[in-house]
Amino acid sequence: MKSIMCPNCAAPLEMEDTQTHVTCPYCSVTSELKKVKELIEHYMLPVMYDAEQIRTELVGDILKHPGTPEDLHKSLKISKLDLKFIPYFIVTVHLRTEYSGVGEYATYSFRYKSGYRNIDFHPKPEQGVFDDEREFIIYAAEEINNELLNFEISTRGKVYFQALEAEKVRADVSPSVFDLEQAKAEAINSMREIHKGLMLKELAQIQEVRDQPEVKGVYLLHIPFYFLEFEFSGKKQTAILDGATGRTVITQIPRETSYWIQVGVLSFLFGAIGLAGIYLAVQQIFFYFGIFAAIAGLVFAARTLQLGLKTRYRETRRRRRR
Amino acid sequence: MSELTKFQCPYCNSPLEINPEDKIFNCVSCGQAVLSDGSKFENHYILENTINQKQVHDIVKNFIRKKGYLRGIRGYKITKVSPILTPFWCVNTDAYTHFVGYLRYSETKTRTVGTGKNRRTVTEHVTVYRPVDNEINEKRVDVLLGRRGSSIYGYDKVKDLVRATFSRAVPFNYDRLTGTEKEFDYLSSEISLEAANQLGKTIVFDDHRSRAEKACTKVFDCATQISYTGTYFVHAPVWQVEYIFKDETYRIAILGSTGSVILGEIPVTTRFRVIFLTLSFLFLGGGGAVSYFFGDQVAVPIIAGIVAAVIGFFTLKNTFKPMSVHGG
Repeated sequence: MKSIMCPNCAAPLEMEDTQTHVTCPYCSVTSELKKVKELIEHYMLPVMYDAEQIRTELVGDILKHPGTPEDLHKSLKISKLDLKFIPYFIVTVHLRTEYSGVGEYATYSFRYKSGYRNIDFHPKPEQGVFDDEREFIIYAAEEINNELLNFEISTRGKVYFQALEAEKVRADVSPSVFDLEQAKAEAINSMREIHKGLMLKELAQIQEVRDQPEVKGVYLLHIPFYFLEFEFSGKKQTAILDGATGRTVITQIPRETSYWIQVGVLSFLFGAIGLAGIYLAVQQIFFYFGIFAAIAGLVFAARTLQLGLKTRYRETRRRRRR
Repeated sequence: MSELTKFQCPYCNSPLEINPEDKIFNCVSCGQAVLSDGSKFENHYILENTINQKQVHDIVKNFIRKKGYLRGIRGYKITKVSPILTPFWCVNTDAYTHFVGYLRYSETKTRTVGTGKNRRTVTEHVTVYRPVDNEINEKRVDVLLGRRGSSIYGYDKVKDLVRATFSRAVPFNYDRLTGTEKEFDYLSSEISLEAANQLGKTIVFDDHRSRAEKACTKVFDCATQISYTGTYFVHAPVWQVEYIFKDETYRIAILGSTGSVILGEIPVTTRFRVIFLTLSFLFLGGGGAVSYFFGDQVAVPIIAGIVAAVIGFFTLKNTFKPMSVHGG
């Protein structure tokens, strides 16, 4: 506990050691406590979906797929359900890179129609500046999970982190593997990679690089995820759902046996048409018809297998940056 | 040593309701938009909402009828209608890019060879290089969502709509927000004015570079200069609708200023799957018939096969997909 004085009305205020904001009960002005040593801004997303609601979301997503058991809302039994807060660093980096090196220019000879037949490349000294700002989301949990790494996170509705809140919903809090400096360094590195890529487009050879990184903002955010296991016809299936927005990170899709039979029959049928086509073409009976059937049948069979055998579903994925 | 910062409206001194996300605050008493450093912000605009709950229901009905054609969707129920005022930054810039590079392409060359009986025309392809030295000079408006992350359904599409209707925005009026638009959930910006300008600049740079790369086989030099001509904070009314069909939830996002659907999910029913599977078979059969009856050139079955394969790629996708997503 710390005692401070309200800067507006001078009333005494008490705050927890971990608390950074306090609202004065007398004049309702909110104050922020800043240590002179940099303070980590630490947030969490509150858990908005309880176990029952998350089950409804999961079943709803599964049922949109063909060949799933219709009574799943009743029959799905969740055998394991863990709630865990996963840390992400959100870092905004500004980087100014001054570079110099050897660039290229070209001379052209032998005019031909609208262009030239011949091109010659020559080196020339070149220098320039890249100066821009980007935001990076850094997955900071110890356990490597590609699904969570690529998940398009949402930061809407974040509140200051309170360990008590996590305890209340009986959730584990994964500690961050990076401290503030490491997270910043990680983001600066990613930014340097981007600038390096740009430089290689401009230059044939980089000779000198001077850059000035500046972190414009950084905070740590813990997002609650549900890790579920459920059983279907004796097979264990897993799913991960976002406990703050109810979105499905990834789930396996349980299917009925009749679905597998349908997919099997369908792809067999297309495959048979394709193979028959090859046979007809090779034997020179209905040669042209055979060629058509071989192309279309095999593509249809491959596509049916590709789509029909899909066993996982993701609601959103983060798009990769160029 | 510690220091304390007060959160108080610099104009009327009433306490500001703060939220750790926000970079722009609106004073609850006087409505003035205030930046997080305490300075006044004037360029706050809003696209006014023109639709009400009943119209939202009609728009959803029309959308499902139009896009859910032939699917037999009957008995859906709207379960949640939440209007949100979503924050956008509109960064206005004059952007100029000069780029130098070359383009490689091929020209066809015909010449006649041989004499007498052996005289014939030969066509060959010649690789040609053309120097490129071009400029892009434009006034642009780049729209960024004022939030980090993106749990707002359809937000990516809204950007384009906001860019197109930006000129219809009116100055933000706090009384209106607390009056006619009070049912709206108000979101402020998590991105500061300065950050919006910087991120806007990055968008322009990336866009101009990719356009230069498209125009050239190789770009030697590409330099962009921009000057800001005004950055506006614009709120757009978005209605987020959820409806239930056969126990499953689907979402639709509607832009409140125009009443158009931004993005919407439509259930895929068994009937829809059967229709597309039948279509796949019809194209397979049709292509077969064509190559059987018109197959006097080897190109016919090959082209028919490729066409059928491409069509099958989509019809089969429709057979298996969990749901359809449509823009307005």
